[in-house]
Amino acid sequence: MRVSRLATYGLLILAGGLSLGPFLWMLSGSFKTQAELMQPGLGRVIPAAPTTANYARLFSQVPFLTYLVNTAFVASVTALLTTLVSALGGYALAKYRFRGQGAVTTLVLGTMLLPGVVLLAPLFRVTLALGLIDSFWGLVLPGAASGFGVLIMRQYLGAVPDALLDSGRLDGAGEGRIFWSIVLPLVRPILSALVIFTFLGAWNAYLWPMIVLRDESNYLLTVAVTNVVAAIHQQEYGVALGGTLVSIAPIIVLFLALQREFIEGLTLGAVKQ
Amino acid sequence: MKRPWRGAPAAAPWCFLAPFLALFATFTLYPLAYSVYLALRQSVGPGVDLYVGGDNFARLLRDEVFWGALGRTAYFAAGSILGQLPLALGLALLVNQRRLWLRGLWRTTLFLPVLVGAAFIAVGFRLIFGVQDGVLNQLLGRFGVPALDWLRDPDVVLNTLVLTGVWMFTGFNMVYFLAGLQGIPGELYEAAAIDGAGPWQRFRAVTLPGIWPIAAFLITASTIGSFGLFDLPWVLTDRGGPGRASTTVMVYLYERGFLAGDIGYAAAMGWLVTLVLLIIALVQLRVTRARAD
Repeated sequence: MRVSRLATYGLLILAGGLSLGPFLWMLSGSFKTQAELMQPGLGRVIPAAPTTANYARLFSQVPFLTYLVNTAFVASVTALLTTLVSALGGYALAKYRFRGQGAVTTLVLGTMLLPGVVLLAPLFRVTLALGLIDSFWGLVLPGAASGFGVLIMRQYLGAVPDALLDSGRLDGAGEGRIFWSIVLPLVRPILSALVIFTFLGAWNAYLWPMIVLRDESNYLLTVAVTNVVAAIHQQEYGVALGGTLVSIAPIIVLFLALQREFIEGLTLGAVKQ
Repeated sequence: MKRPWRGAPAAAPWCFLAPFLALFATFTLYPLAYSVYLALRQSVGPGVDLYVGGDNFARLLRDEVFWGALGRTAYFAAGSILGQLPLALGLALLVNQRRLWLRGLWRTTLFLPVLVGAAFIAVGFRLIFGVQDGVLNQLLGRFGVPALDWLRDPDVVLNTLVLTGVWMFTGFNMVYFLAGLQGIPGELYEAAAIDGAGPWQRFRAVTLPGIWPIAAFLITASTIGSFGLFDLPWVLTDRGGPGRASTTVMVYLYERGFLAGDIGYAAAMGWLVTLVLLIIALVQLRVTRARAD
């Protein structure tokens, strides 16, 4: 028994080290001078001459703060809009019986597993035609109608008892008011899970923002870190590492604060349909 | 079947659905139909826009770069499933043990890479894999492992991507397995133990069937996800390089459709890849279903 406990912790320490190692290495590297980074060997964990110069350059030579704000804005709007649209649609499918309901459900189900490859080219043309290229709306709107989100919301909203809605109607509340003031507060956990799921997706998205955004001042962090930072600082690794860390730090902080919601949000896919 | 409350106006559900339907029609249904139109047209060259029927598809079938990219994408998908799932299950079993010290901390630590976007990871990992003597080679060298040119050796780069994928997603799969493990009733293990089943037999008779639906879901999800692989080969191995050594279907589609401007060809490619993916998914479904019965 003692051997197996030893093995358990040994394996966990190994896996944990592999998991955290790259983060720590990037953190340490971002405080090193270029000369120290270029030295062969594993390098020190604590920099020989710690410097914040990389971070200073990051914010002075590149409008990195703008990219941070852009990303936070786009990810927040995407998350809130997608969740609202999903909740509204899911509510209609869960709590009403109407003609055409089956057709809508089939449509949503049928397109849910559509791979991104098939939509990329035509979606670009549509976005271009609508004048949304180089606009944040070109990032927010295409993903806002999420079949996945609607199905998840339909499932959770289906569990809200009809009697609650009916008593609201007896009290003279309109349908919109019932949805907003009675139903939504009851499903707050799933709402936050969906918000986090979409927020994270939008924060980390790379290909679509790279296609849609043209003007450098509109860039999101993913595009900025890979293009601008890399181009300016080909030979200044510390700056690239700093940019990466500043980009992922907000997500890590959010995660540590809202762990349960994150795990719930990221395992939404496992919910039985 | 319950009856709707008489007081609910008939238009109410459509009002709730309106935002979704409007966006869905604009950004999913219309593009889907439009991509059929695009796939049948020649779009490359200045001002060229002609109906060419199945010409794009005929060119695709002869396009060696496309088939190479498809093969590499399938390799990445298979490598990811084989690399991530057993590891994730092992870690889930470790973390799921009763009386585990610092359980929450282990889970959090192993889950952390999941949060970081592939584009960010690629920038950091470019330096870890290194050009000549990166940190990873230095570290492996201490254990006597010979240095590999992770980012520039055509025979290695695909494995570099698989390895990076394992680092990124094992924690994600682990959380799914954990949910599956916690759904297995404890009585099943007790009953098996009473019947004299050893640990390995208990694993095969109780654990494996219990988590099989989750595994099947993860296999399908990994496959679909792998076919969208773009960020890692684009950033980490520099635009699908060296040469074509890490060009996946998504990289090639982007190259042809967006950099070369042949959007009709890209649309055709999208449909062909979807068809291949559909076939793979159906085969997987058959195999996993058969396994479950």
